[in-house]
Amino acid sequence: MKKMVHTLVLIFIFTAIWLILNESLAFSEILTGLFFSAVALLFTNHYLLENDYLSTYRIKLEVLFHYAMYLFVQIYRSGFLAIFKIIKGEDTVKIIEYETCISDDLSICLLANAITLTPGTVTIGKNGRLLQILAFQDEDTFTDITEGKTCSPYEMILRSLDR
Amino acid sequence: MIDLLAYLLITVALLFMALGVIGLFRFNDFYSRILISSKIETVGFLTIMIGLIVLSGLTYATMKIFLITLLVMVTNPLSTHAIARSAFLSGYTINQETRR
Repeated sequence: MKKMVHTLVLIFIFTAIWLILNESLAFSEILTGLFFSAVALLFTNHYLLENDYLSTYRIKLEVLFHYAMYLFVQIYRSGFLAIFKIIKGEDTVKIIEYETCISDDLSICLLANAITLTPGTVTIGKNGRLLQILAFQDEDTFTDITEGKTCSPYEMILRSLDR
Repeated sequence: MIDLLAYLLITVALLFMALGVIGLFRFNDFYSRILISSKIETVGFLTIMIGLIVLSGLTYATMKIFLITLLVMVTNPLSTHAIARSAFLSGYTINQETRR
């Protein structure tokens, strides 16, 4: 039952995207959207993914929203800090090895994505829970594995996605 | 008034992008350049898209811009990651003495 509800939610989200792209709320368009959403989901489940779509991309919407809001603030904070670096000409960088507190692979990928989205840090490698991060010298959100283990605020939010 | 806010946001976005380009010329090290380029593609892009959303009002165009923004936010880091990773694996070292 729960799986069916999740599938229906996904189909409705895909249909909404279809309606936006076609700029129409006509009944025929809604039916076409529902049909293609269901076909796309079935095709992805059978041919593109090793596991089921719902188990691979099980994301809680409230966690995703909280994460997006935090990331939005961090992007602008780091963006303004980067302006000072450009003005001062501070271009010293470092590569750190960082072990994440989260274990879910999708959450680690979301974390790596957020690190690259934030100005001043880029993920250059991922090996299980170990991330290699290129950052400016004064970056302190992520600490090297040799300096002891700490959880960044990103991970505190993403932990809720862990299964 | 709304239009003015939208144009203000777009101007701020262009300023962010201009500063990013200045940073690219100011820094000589490959790794510091790639860190600054991510500023252009996230902060600049995000601000310009917010400006366009404000300018469009509540229309299908706004929702399309929102979808494009989400899509770019998910896919854009991949290119930065691929370039930085290929340089790292190719043996590019951090050069601390390249600042002008």
